[in-house]
Amino acid sequence: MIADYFFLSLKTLIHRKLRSWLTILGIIIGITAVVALISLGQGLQTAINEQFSTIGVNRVIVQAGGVSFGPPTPGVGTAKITEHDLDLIKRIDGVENAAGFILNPGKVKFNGKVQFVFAVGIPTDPEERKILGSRLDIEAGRHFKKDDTNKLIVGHNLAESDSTFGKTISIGDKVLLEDKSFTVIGVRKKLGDSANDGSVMIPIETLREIYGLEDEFSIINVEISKSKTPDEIAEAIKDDMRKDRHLKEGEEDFQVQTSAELISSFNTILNIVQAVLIGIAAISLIVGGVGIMNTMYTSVLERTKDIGIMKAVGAKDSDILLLFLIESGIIGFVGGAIGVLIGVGIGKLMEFVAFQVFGSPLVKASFPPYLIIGALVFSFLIGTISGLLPARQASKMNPVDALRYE
Amino acid sequence: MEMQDSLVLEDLWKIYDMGEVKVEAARGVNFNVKKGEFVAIMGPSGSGKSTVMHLIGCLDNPTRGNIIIDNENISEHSSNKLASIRNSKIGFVFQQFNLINSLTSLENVELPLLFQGLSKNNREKKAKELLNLVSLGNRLNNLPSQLSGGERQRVAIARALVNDPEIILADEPTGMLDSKTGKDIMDLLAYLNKEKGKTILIVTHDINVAKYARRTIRFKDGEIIEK
Ligand SMILES: Nc1ncnc2c1ncn2[C@@H]1O[C@H](COP(=O)(O)OP(=O)(O)OP(=O)(O)O)[C@@H](O)[C@H]1O
Ligand SMILES: [Mg+2]
Repeated sequence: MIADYFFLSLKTLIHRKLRSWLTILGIIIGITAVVALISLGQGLQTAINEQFSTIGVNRVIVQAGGVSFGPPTPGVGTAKITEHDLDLIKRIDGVENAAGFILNPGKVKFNGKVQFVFAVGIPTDPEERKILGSRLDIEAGRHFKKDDTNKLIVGHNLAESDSTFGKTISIGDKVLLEDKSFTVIGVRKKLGDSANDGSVMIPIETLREIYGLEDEFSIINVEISKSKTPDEIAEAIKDDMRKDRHLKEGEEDFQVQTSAELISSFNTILNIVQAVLIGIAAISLIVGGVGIMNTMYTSVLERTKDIGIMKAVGAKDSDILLLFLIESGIIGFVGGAIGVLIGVGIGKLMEFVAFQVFGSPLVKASFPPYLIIGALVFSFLIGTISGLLPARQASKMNPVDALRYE
Repeated sequence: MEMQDSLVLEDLWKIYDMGEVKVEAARGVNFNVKKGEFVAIMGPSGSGKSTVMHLIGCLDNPTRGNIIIDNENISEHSSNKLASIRNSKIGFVFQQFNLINSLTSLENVELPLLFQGLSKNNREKKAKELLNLVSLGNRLNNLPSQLSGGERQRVAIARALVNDPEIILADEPTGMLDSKTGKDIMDLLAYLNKEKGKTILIVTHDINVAKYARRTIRFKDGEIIEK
């Protein structure tokens, strides 16, 4: 029975090809936008969380300055994080271990070309490196040993692509950092962000010497013992550092964050951005729904005579209602299905383009089942809801008046 | 054995309220039609013939009075019940054929059965049978636009018959056709009356068409002047 109505509705839709397609287009655009945006947003979120996991979970991160994102620049501002702070932190009850590193812009010369990239100064002690997380791992060559001085590890991109220096850097090559010669001993693991993948790593002592940074750190990572939570340790560090610096609460010139906080603050921003984008897409869906309603009203008007005929041969009000609801539901559903396909396509395309052009595996489209099913159900609902009023109007028509309509 | 009434109209009124003026299209119409009768309704234009046909066909509600079809008084029926009367007891043939343009002959004829909830197979079987009866067995998959006027009216008659109704109501069924085609249609209706025992009510302006009927009811100004 329903199947018969379905085919009857389908027939009339096919009969009015162009109009049907134009109406469907309204829904296609909305659903495409929603699916593409959500899939990319989801992918981005997953990728960012993966990135943070290379810092290590259950870590507390200490850096100089007020609350801000981005790599801190040493030497800027008065407050610094130093070896003294590291010792202070290590002495806190519940702190298992702690280590720091420096991030500094550096002038690198290779193959006759000069480029500015990030120079990362890291501990030569493998135990200390472990505290700083898997993001310092290498994929080829060897890592720093104690007493390494003029040795250098290049970021993944510098070894893989010649776009920075016109030539790829290989293990054994000589590279000039601030006019000092370094021998390349390894290639750093790919992280997916161009800043890190295009950076160079050298022993922290060497870096301090070159830039005259004495004993400061950009960031200190704190590993905590199992008996304490990251939040407790973060509070303890804040307290002790405040006391040490004679600062009141709220006046901190340093930042203490747990890795969970860092992740969640990133996710919050991402969620807001996603919500705004999806809100915009949702507006286009509402416009699509109004389009369906408009088409259905026209359709009811155009087919007034057909409605009269169907009633004359015995169609009940509910039959007519159902027929028109199915029709608008089909419009919504077909629009949704096509929208999902195009949305998936666009998501995949963006992923591909991002990878090809920016070499960034960060942009990953992900399509959880709830997204696909949700989009289809939602578009079907928009169709039927938009069709409700026109369908009601059709079903209430007096047969003889409907038949007289030309 | 006395012949049973197929249709009884009792003091039937239809008043169109146009605000300023009220049009009394039917003014106390009374008549009976026995089972198996073939009755013609004649009268000048605007005399209320179509109005009364629509009331009998349950396409419109009377202002007052009773309509009894097959011993069932339908005057107070809900719209759902009227739909089911239209579906099962009445076959309506219109002057303008009133086929659905996006559906083929076969699908048009199947339509009443679809609203009865019959399966596709059964619908097709019955619809084909009736299209064969009206000699359109070779036009099953044509759209109305691909058919002549006479063929369209035969499709409409097949549709009116497909539910095996009690009464066939035909409002100027030959009005849009030439006299030869009109005669074919009338021969078909006469055959249905004689061989299939259908009760037929036909509105016409054509005296030759009225001759097919055994009885003529004459209308004037919403009233019956001759039964
Ligand atoms: N929906 C309506 N609203 C108002 N007046 C109507 C309506 N339908 C019919 N009438 C009026 O009712 C009267 C009877 O009309 P009806 O169509 O029944 O005449 P008829 O006998 O079928 O005429 P014809 O032979 O031309 O078909 C006419 O005066 C007509 O104007
Ligand atoms: Mg008339």
